[in-house]
Amino acid sequence: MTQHHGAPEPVDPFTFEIVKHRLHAITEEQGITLKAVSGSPIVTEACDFNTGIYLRDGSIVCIGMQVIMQAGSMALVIRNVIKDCTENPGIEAGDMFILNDPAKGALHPPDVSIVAPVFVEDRCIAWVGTCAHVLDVGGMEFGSWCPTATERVQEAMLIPPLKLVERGRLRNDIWRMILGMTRLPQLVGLDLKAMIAANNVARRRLLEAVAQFGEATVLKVMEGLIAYSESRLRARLRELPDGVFTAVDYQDHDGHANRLYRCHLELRKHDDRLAFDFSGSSPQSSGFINATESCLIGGVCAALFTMLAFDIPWTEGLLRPVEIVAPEGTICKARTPAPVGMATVATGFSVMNASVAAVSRLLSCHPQYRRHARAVSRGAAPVLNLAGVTPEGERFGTLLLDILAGGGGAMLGRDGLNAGASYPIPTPNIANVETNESIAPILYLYRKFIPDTGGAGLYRGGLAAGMALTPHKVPEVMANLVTHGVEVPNAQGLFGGHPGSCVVNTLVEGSDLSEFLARRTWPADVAELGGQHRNLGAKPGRFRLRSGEVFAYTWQGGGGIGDPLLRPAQAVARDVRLGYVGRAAARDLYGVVLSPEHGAALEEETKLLRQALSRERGAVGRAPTSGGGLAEGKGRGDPESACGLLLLLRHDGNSYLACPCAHRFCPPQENWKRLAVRLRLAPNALGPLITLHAGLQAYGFACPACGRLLAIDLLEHDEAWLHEASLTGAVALAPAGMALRP
Amino acid sequence: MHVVGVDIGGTFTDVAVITDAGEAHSFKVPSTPDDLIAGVFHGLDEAAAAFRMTLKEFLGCTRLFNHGTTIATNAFIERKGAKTGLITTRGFGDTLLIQRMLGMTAGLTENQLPDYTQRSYPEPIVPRHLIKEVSERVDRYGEVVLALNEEETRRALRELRAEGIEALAVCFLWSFQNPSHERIVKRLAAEEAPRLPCTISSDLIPVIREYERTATTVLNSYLQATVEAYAGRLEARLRELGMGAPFLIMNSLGGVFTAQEAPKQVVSLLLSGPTGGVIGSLGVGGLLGHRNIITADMGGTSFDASLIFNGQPRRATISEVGRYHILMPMIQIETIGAGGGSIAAVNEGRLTVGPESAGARPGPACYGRGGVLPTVTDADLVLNVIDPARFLGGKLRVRREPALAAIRTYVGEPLGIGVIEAAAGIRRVVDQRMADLLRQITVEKGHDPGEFVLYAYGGAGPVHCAAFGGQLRVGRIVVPAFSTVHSAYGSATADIHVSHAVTDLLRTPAFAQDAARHLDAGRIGDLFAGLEARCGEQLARNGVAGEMRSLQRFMEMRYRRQTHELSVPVRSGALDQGALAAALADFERLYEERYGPESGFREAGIEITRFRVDGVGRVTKPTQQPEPLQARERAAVQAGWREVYFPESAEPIKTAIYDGDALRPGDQLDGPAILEYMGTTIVVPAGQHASMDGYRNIHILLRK
Repeated sequence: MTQHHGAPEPVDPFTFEIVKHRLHAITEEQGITLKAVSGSPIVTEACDFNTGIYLRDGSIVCIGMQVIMQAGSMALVIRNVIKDCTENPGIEAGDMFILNDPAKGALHPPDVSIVAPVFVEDRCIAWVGTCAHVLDVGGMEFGSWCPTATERVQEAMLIPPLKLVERGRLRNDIWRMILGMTRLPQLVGLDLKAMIAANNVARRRLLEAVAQFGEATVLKVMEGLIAYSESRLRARLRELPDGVFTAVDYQDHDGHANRLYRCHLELRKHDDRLAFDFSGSSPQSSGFINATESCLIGGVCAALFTMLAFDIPWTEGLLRPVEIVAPEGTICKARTPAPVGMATVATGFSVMNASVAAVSRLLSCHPQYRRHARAVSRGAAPVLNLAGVTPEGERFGTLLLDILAGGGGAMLGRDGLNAGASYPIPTPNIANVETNESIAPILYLYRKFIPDTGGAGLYRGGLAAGMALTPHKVPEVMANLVTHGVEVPNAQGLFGGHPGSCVVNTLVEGSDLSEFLARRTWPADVAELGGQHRNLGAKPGRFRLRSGEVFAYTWQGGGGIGDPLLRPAQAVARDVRLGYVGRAAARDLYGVVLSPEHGAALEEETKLLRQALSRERGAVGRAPTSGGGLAEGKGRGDPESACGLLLLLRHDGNSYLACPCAHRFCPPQENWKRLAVRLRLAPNALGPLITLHAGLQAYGFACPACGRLLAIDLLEHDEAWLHEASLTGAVALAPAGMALRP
Repeated sequence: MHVVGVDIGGTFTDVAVITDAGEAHSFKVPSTPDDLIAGVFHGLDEAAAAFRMTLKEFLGCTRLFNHGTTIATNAFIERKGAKTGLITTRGFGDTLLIQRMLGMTAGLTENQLPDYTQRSYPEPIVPRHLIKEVSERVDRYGEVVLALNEEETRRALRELRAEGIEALAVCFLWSFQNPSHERIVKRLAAEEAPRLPCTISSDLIPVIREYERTATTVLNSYLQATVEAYAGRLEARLRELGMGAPFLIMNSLGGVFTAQEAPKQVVSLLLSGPTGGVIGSLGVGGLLGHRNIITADMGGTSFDASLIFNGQPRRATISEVGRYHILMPMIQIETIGAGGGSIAAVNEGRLTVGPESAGARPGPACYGRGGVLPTVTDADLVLNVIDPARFLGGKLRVRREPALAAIRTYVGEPLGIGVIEAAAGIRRVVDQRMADLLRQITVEKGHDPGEFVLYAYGGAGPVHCAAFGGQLRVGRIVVPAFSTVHSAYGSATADIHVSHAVTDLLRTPAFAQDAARHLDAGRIGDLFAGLEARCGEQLARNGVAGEMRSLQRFMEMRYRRQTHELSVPVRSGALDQGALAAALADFERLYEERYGPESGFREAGIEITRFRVDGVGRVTKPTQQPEPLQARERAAVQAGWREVYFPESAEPIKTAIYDGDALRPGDQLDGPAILEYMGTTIVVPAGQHASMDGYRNIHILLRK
């Protein structure tokens, strides 16, 4: 190999590995510092933050194992700081910049970034940054979640790129101004100090690395890491089949009215490139659910990094083969002054859900990567802020993030994890009940797994937890609750698997809690409580929770994969025994008949019930079996590969999509659903905890030969059937059996 | 007479004997996983034979028998503990299953975390049907919201009994503020199931954090019977053979306790393995006058590191064990997957080493037991650092050819480099990973490694210490005389450690001028008095006389609303406002030391969350006497020469080889040199100097 004169000397692989580890160690230490110094439980126990190292132009080099969305956001933040501040006031050694304006890269106003340039002599060689959700950034509502806002300036203070630390000295004027605009100056002050401390640590360590290895080497490793990620991702994309993969997610309620919003993704994969096209999404809303570009990128990253780059360094290089398309003026890329206060857990989540679903469809077509395909995990994040005065007379404010313990989506080959959600955070935690009860004057009634939250399927979705609370020793606490997914099951299933449960928000007025206490018992479920049960819907916003009242919510479970009638009856019996699935759901969704005495599955009765249920689907033949026709040797044609749980069959020299029972549908670029039995599914046919918005309808698509449920679409009334996967190129070979065996 | 320390490890059972004359001896036999006690007696037989005694005579001459064992860890990892039932507050039975979501990613490496298919929860130690909820509720103030429903409790106990549980754990919300309900359950359990062992959380660890408290309590119940039976059997056998000496068991608090005490705090046996090494380092450090020590234990699969600062090991409040979280003050030991068996691989032109390990089976390629992937040991062999003929004293036959082939195939060819360069690369990468971990516990915690001595032990530690120690820029490395049985040596020299803590939240208001005035000195004094009494009683139960006891008070403090505390030592004796003001000032000083100047935010106010007393009962041990140092001619001790590859140069360097057992106190030698021992090899690079001290420890002085 000849080397061009003047080409940079490559770093030897050993030094490369060493410096790479060092960069990771720096990012991790940055996070540890932040957690130790911050005062907010959402940073210290729920990890709603991130840290990172960036190139001098803002490209991502290394990010922490916390909120993925925030890493992408900081890349934009740094670029905007460079753009707006280079001339005036200037960027110098020892400076730090603060920013929370969503038009300038913030995800939403509570996610405050502080970023710091790293200088060697007079050269800026890199940036380090920290982003954390702080508990209040002003605006019309405590916690800065404002469902009634109609424009961004109502929602929060909007900090443009602003020099907070000037050559190592905190600017007290700026500091006082910011703390003067929050309801919780002590807490926010502690958080901002923590972010400054974390950046100080990262900057110091990075300069130590430069001193040890040399500036040129460190920079080459940083750039090399990015190039390496890019080439690895491109290589992976080349292994995957070309095609167009579609997914759609919805949000209910925009803060003003219970309108439905669509997030529509067409994922186009060609050769070593990938385009995420959200052009089919709803126009931007007058409510605070919109996303800006930062949140759009963040939502895509959460799926892209974890599913396609699970073994590749998470750097800017992963974004280079990727195009993200959304027209301005849609919910995915809203124009100023549209409010965006809920973006992260609203459209940001929707973008992530659709991306997970579409990428799963792509991955499921490859024998090696199909195990990474999964149904959507908890697809909504009910945000509950509490504020008020403690019995000791002090103000308090907090944000409960127990909701991270929603259900994980099923994987191709494995049930979803209970309390296993949290796509956007690689290392999620929730706080102890005792910690939350020591911050706010509340009593939890329970925090537990809720049965029937996991989406039914051959592989079941993971269970969500839920909880209830009541004010304690105070006349009331103020609550502020916003979510979506009350009338949309966002955790959609795959390949005939059912969606996980919807969010249920209940306020019990005039509860009989005191009578329970008088009877010396404790209500362990909201259903046990007497009193006026009010369904609060998706976005009740601010409400008073008075002494004696109880607020309860259940989070979304994970989606299932595959027809539930294929789940082994013993597995269903076990789920019932463990209390994960109710007996009614076992019968109605899984077609399993259990012995009333000992709870074991009754084989013959189950077989008959399953046959009857599949006949109801209009199938002409026998009930589906997990063995399928091919496994029994009755197949026609040569099964060569799989697309999800469908097969690709070669017949007369042409390729066809086929049911595992060997029934042929159509060529792989066409939509097989037009040849399937189409079933209108009522909400309770999807699951006992599922509610559908008036604008939504669920359809099942079953094999006309065997009755096997192959897909469930969630559609607006005027929408065409989802063309989940249109394979336009050659498909990698897979043994057919892989698709069949549970 | 002598003191005996026995340590059971995954591969070997080690015995250390220190005679009253202060001489120390060590023995190593294979562990016997199916019946750990058998291995103990193999080791003791070997020791007795070396002393030319029968086992009875040997045990008769034993003054103290200290034992470190993996029995609790094994039973936990293999899920072979007692069938345990849990009684908890109604509505919160899933706390142990949800695990605050920590269990889902616990134990995953940096490489595994991004891959969500690696996520899972650990196999539950108590299955859901053995978790019973009963009606009761206490609030954060310790006030009873709902009195315990005794009927429900009796029903739950009967159901659990019918399920055939062998142990019971009880953990209620806020029980550390008001233990009355847990105590009632304990009484009812004694009535309903008289012989059922029962652990209640308020006895074991009365501190806030219900998930960690539940996990700790449950694990204690789960492992109690196994440990009790094991300790009972071993002690009975020792007594049969006529041993009259105290029989003490090593724990991860940093000391030993009596076998009768152990079952009450079984969880503290988890992680006690590497703790022996830290205690051994404390012992050697005591003899040599070293107060600041970095301990580095490199074995076959893992590298365990810890810090001793001002003569005190660092302790962690919460430790992750087997993907559960234990709320006990344990000696803090950081572990990464880097050892002799760590596997090297090339992925797209990048070399990685570990955390995957070839383990003992199939082992490194050079073992010839079916391992084909290159490991660190293979690299050491290829570089001539290790002599195949002398590996483990020749007990294990290793061959150079398969090592060469493995490195050539899996590292050299993919990178387009020669096999020697590839082997040197493996060494560099693994050495750097260890250096990075040591950096994390020193530099990144604000300590200057130059003020520490690095103690290197374990089979592979002495082979690599000069490299990672050099990176870290420590001035001196000590390879202890018993480096391969260092944990057993540690057990033999351990004192009795106890610790008790209570949670009680005290606060100073925000923006307070004279913060200490807002703290109730009387109440704090009472809390400490109670803890000191508990420590004293426990030390007395362990047979520690009053004059051998010492107690230290701590307050765990933070700025208000923070969740991470700093442990601040508090002076003993009567507490007044002045003493409290001093403690507050100490907190702020420690805080700024850790997080940098101006990181403090005293406007927020200060919280004290926990009060703790650590007690030490000193055990009388023989004093080791140093042998006199003699200067000898280098030629008199040198065994030969070998061409060895060092990382710094591409060419091999002619290196002096010494038989470690032939070295005498006072011997001095210059690098490049290699000292070969039965279980290890000490590498002294060029330009560095080594010497043997009066206790036969090797000191390597690193040139800065």
